[in-house]
Amino acid sequence: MQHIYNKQVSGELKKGSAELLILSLIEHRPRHGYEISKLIETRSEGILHFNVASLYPLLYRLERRGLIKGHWVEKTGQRRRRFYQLTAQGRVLKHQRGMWREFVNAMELITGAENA
Amino acid sequence: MPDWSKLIRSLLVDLQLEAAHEAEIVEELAQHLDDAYKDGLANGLSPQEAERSALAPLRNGTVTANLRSIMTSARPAFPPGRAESRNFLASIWQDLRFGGRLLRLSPVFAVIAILSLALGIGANTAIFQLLDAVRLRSLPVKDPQELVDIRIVDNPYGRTGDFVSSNPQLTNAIWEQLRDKQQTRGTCPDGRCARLQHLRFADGAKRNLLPLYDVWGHKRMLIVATQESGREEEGGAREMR
Repeated sequence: MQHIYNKQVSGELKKGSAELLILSLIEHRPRHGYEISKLIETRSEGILHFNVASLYPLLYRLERRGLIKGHWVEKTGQRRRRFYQLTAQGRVLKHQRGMWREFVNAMELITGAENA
Repeated sequence: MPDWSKLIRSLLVDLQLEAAHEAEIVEELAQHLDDAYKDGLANGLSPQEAERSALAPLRNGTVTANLRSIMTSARPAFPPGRAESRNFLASIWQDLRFGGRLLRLSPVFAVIAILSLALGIGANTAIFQLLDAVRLRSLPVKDPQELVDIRIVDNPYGRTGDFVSSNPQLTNAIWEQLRDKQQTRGTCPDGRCARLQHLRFADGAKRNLLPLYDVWGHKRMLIVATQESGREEEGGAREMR
């Protein structure tokens, strides 16, 4: 497992994209914090890693801004977990994600042309 | 499984969070550390290594700093009784606004409180109206418009009110209503007029007193009436005929 948080990925880039990453991951179904962190790590192939100290403050900030909503879910024989889901306000994600993809595509076009 | 709660709580103590909020954060972070610890064990780490790995992100204090930047302190937004609240009316308005905001934050409590008050006032009004209609409007006494004092003896409690003083009696306001609403001039019924027990002058003027009437034969309610007969009565017990 390659943890290169704050090494290869700049803090600013991560700060700008972290909220969008979380909103994307809970867009279709609620997820708890550990599941979110594992998904980010797995889908980024270890490039991005959110630990307990960085993920939850971000979740709480998103919740305070009304973009996500956390609720406790109890299952028999298990400790209860707090699941986060997107709010109506958080649906602006779709618009932001569209702009983000355009930005990433533009970056790829520029850097790809320079490296060709 | 290590107990993470104590460590997490020690990291949050400086944030002065509300107790319930802090407990939720502790529980959630502990759950996360549990999962990380189990993953470490599943990946072949020893229990000590798994614990160290799980706790590593908490060692540098970033969680406290990150949470401090977004968490609101549990301390009140403004201290009560601040110096500038000298204007009495302004202070009342401020208190009302503060109360309104608190009620808005707890709508269920607000609804229950308002309904309780409404039911209490309504029930009190209904009981008084019943009493007023059944007991007060048609007192069968002679010259009820001259009544100056209605009192309950030997029983300061009852459905006619809570007359807990040493000399329980109806208030002047009730007496005024009673006098205004009295439509008929009753008489002492069936010779049930009872003993004279108390003398009382409502306005301090010297008046002759009619004896106390035992209304409807209930000896607990005694009514003093006056008439300008020109003859003074001394206080004391005597039988009415």
